[in-house]
Amino acid sequence: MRSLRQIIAVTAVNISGLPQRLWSSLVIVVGMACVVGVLLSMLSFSVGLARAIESAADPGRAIVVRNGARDEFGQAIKREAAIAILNAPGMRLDADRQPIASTENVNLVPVTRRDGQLPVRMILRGVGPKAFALRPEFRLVSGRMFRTGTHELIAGTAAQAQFEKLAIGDKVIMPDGEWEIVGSFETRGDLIEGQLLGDIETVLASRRFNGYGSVIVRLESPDQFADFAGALKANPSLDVDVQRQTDFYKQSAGQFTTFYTTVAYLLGCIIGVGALFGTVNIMHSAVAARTREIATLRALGYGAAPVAISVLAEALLLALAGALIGAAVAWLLFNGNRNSYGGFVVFDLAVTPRLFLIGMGWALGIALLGGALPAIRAARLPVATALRAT
Amino acid sequence: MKWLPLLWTALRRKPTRTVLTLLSITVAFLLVGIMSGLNASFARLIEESRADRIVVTARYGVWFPIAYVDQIERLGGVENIVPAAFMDASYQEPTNRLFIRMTDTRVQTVRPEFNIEPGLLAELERIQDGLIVSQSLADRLRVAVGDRVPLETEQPYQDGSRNWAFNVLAVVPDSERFAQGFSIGNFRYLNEGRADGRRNDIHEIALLIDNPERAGAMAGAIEQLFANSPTPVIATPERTLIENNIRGVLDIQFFTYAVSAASLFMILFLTANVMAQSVRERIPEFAVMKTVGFSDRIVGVLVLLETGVLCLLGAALGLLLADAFPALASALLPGRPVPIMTPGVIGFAIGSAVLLAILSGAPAAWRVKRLSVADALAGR
Repeated sequence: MRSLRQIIAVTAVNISGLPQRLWSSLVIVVGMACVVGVLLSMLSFSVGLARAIESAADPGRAIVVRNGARDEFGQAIKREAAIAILNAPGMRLDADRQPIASTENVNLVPVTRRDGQLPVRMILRGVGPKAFALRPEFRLVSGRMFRTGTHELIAGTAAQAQFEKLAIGDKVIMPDGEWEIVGSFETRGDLIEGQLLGDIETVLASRRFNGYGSVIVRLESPDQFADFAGALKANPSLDVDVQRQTDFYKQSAGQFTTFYTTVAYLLGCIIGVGALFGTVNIMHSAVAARTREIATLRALGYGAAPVAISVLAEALLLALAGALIGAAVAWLLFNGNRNSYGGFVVFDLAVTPRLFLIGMGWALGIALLGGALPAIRAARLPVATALRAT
Repeated sequence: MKWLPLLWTALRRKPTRTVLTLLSITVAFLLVGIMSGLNASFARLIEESRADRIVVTARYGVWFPIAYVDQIERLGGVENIVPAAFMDASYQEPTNRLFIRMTDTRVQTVRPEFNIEPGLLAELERIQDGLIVSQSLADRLRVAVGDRVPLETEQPYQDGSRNWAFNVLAVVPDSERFAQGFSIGNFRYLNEGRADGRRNDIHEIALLIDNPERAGAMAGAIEQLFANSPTPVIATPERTLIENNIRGVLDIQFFTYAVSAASLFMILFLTANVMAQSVRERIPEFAVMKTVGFSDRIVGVLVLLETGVLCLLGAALGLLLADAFPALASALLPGRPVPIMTPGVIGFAIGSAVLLAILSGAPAAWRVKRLSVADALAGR
């Protein structure tokens, strides 16, 4: 109890002296702001990208792709295989006793990204008639739905914002001619919203494909996955991989983001080491400037620990202030900025609460490491000599 | 340099502080070096791309017919042309990945940067399941000439598996253009062994044209040629393709400059503070120097030089570290561009260091220059 009171008293004295060391204190604040700002800005890229991909997943949905495939391109799931898949147990049925499932495939379509007039290829997804019952997050916001058997598409609002010439009435060139955009839709900002959707059979015909890239099904309940997957694995005529949609998208997100996350932490570490040396430097001078004050406290009977803790507390407080500024700057500059990974995924950069906590942790960690040596030095000051210090 | 001993004494006055400051500056310039080195690395990639080379890929999917090679050749103006298909493979461990370019002998004329002896390519032509591996890739995979390596791929083989066995024909020197290594196989092996129903399909055609100024027009003509076929293509001059790929994901220039600026801003504050404090402690010394005849300007310049020595030394150490960084970067992130040290990068770092020294040393130098001897000696 007594030592706690001492800690509070010494820390209060210490903090009240901060304005006298305003400029040197600012060094730590600015340093941490830079570290956290850089780290969070860079992470906002991979976090936003991963969020767009992973939020398209639902644990109640399962996806079937060709064995070993990591994407939904191609035509490896033939029609007979699709029929076998749709006869498996574990799927939720609709009012007509039909499984809520969609046979799909994805294709690349050349478009121009508004930002920098960059030619990219975006995704056109062919979907089955039950694709919208399968995805309750889907909402048509203007225009109308495409009609089966016609060259019609609907475009996600994120795609329309990111790429040119995707407004209702615009035409997209496919191998078999022009396809008209007749409506636009939202899917709560996930990656589907950055794509074009059309009728699967018409899309396959356009590509002269005779199979699907994936079959996505709604499970009766998330725990029915094992039944569904087991039935497909037991069928020797099927050479497929079955995954929960959440796992599938988590893996895809990893493919896209691992590199950027690694780079962010690598650079965050380097600039953090710079800030670490800065913190040691400044706290060292702070202890030197307080030599007489510390010695007086020690002479009055205050323990070494409260003195050391007060030094650490100062470093932590300054670091926290800097981290808040850095996080705020990263949030203001980047949060919500629309970006796209080539044409594949349209996403918003995201400075999330979790990132905010990572930034705080990073700064406090550096402050703790950087404050430790000066704190020990403060605790060990020889009282008698220090009292005579000028 | 008769001031050197003075500078030396000043810096040694508080060695801990000097060393810590130097370390911060070093780290900041390590980051500056990595960032502008990365920028330079991308710039070189664009610069070294050839204006007379056109790359053709499928417009809507990834595969298109190899017959397009002959059709493009008939357009005229084509010097050399080569098809390629890529196999994404792994050896023993799923993480031990390699990307094999399955092609033929013409690759040497169209892509001379691989720098492979014609005799070796002729041997690959004879030995279908041969594989040419570059040194760094061979080291990474731990394979040697004569090894038979079973590779796990996404490509179904005719025996029903996805395993393709290759014979390592040769380990060749790495190419500057492919710092992470490369491997080349025989397209016929893929074409005759594949069981995915895509016989005679390829991923890419690369061609050299006789007149680089016609690259844009030629690319347009190639696209036009197949516009009404079931598999239209995208034809792009290589330089445009590389520029677009780099711009497609991240604005590299903005990113690298922003990170450099943040780290410089961080140490600008630190250095200015350290100098101000150091000068404050030495006020009486400066007063004495002025009394014995040092001019106002000289003492100011001395303080600036002191800052300059710190910043330039830190910059030099930082760049040395940055030069060693690519080894770490390629270990952590294989297959990605690594920072390179060019005169431009070094110039940028030195320029930043000088600017940093002037900005952070100026307030302290100004204070010393304006110092009134009488006040200072009186301790006011």
